[in-house]
Amino acid sequence: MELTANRFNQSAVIALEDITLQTALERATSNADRRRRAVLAELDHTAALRQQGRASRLRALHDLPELLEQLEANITANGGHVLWAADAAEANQHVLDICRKHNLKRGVKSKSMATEEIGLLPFLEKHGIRMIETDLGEYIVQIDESHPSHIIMPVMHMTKEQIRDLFMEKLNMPPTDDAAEMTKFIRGHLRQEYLQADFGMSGGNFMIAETGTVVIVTNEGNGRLSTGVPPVHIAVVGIEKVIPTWEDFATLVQLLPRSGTGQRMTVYVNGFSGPARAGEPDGPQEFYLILLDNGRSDIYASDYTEALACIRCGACLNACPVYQNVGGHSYGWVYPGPIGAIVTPLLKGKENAAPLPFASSLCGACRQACPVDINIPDMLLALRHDLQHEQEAMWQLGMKAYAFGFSHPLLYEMGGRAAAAASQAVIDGIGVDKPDGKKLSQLPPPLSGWTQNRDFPPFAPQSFRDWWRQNRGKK
Amino acid sequence: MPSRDAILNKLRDARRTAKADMRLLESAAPRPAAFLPVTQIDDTSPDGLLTRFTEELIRLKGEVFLCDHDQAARDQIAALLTEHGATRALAWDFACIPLPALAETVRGMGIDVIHPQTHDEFRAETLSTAETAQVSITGVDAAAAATGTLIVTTAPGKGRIPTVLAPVHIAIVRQRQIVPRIEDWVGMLRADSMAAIRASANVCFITGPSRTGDIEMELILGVHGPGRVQVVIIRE
Ligand code: SF4
Repeated sequence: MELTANRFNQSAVIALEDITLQTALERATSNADRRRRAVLAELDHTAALRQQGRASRLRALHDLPELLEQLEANITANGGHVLWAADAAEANQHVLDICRKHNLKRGVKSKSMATEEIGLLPFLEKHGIRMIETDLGEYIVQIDESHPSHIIMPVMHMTKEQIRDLFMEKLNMPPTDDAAEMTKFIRGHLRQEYLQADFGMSGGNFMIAETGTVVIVTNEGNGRLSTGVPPVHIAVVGIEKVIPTWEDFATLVQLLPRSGTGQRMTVYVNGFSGPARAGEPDGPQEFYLILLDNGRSDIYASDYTEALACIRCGACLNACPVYQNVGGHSYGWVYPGPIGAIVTPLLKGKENAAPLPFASSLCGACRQACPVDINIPDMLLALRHDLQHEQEAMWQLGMKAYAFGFSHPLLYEMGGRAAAAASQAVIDGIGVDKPDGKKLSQLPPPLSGWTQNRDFPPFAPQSFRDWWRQNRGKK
Repeated sequence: MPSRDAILNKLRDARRTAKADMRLLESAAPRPAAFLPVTQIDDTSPDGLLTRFTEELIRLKGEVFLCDHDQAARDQIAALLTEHGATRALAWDFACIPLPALAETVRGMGIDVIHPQTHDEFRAETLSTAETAQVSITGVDAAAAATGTLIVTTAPGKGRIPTVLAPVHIAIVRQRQIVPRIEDWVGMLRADSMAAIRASANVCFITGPSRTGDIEMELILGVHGPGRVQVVIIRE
């Protein structure tokens, strides 16, 4: 997908003034963030689990080359094929070669950020290979000829009415305002695609080295149909996704949905260890894994190695006051939000995404939300520092982004929301997050001096302007 | 394999020359002897597990039917098939479903039972017939109580399609198959060097009916997979 991260400021202003988008964003991010808090609050050892998940990811990164070799050996032993891709072009070429070898013309795809990153669909289309996205959100994006705005909820930026109009226009859906009816229509519409596809594609959320297993998570069942029905399955997965064992997996696979959507488990967690074994009645007869580097080894060999620990849960997007206001498209590439503001400059060149590290108030809500405790604010600061030192002109561009935050009237509002997010972050950090609006009775230093003698009132979770906007219509 | 070696060498180089953030990588806590399980579960007695599994699945809008013996389970399944107006059902081989004489019950109702095989020349016909089935019937490898999860692996007689294609999935579970958590199932497999995973091409953890929240986060069931998951549990 085209990189437009340097136009962050312009896109953000457009987003801020788009009332429909603001409505959609507010509904979705606040919902997701509230659910995350609720399912994490029901565990009494969240902090320890988070550190367990973090340690799993860090050990895996420490042993990355060895784990990749072990994974490759096991998948090969299972009868699968492993291909390596240094960049997007090589990954796309691998897919095309596989299609030519098996004469594949029609594919169905489960949601994957990696294939979005390498621009696989336009590439295949150019070569006469048709690929249908089957995740409902991704399918909407595909027929809308746009891009996902969130890594978990691809059409978070659209309202139900916009989706209805799109289905009616592009697919001749009979008129309905009911989301269930719209979904049922799409179920019927996509059924034949699964049955007639000659290959299925997926990404991978985890790759378990000890058994050579690629895991995807989906709620809709489209992942299981796309990978289980067609005769060939091709998975494209970033090299950083490998973990050593099933114990690591058991922790991470549960932290992921709790943080991302507030579910205790994703509905379908699907693990593939190569092609169908002898005697199995269904499943792919060929299995390919394409291991994608595309800049990840550069991140590994930098001060930003920690960015590779990300499990792409989306929690930092939902928690971020900037994302909540400007939405995913403003970030100008595949990975939006706080983690995107780190990953995009690192993968695509800092000079090509210079405003992104500045698109943050450094309130810390992202780190608090992150299930593997990634120090996002420090990396954003370090990127700002790099940008300042690498290029004077870049620095000025960055300052412009920074100054912009205080000049635009709608961003001014965000100051209040950022404070609310930050005080929530403090509440989370010391574990007194109670829905009854409890006062903070113990703050970390330097504020602890204050709370020794009195309670510290949390910032209002809603700014006055937010409240006004929600309530002005009511009598 | 030039890219393979280039990538691996670069990673090793980054580590050796400490271009990677080694302080971070070396800060990782050592692998624990025992991992903390994610979910808490207080009552791990057989009935405690049964109760927890039922609560969790119902919370996800799945359905649970408790049966005291095999005949009650067969009757329950017959009642469900009637309720769904089933004329065609997808199923695992009945030998892989731990309920004797189930084949006779289902076939005795005049229901056309398909065990979809997609590796032969009749693939296209099999799939288009399979698509018309109203229900599917499978067993499970295990069920995890704390999350309401069904665990299924593939093997001869145990396919993927019956677990996902039809609008209703009826799963048959023996009470002894319910483990406390996903972690406990992994622990059981570990005791056998993960043999069950190595022997199978696919494992799937199914937690409730297919769902989407893509349209304004409104919960809709049955978008691509089954909208109804009905678990028949036989007490022991
Ligand atoms: S950085 Fe953390 S919170 Fe953000 S997507 Fe990655 S894992 Fe989730």
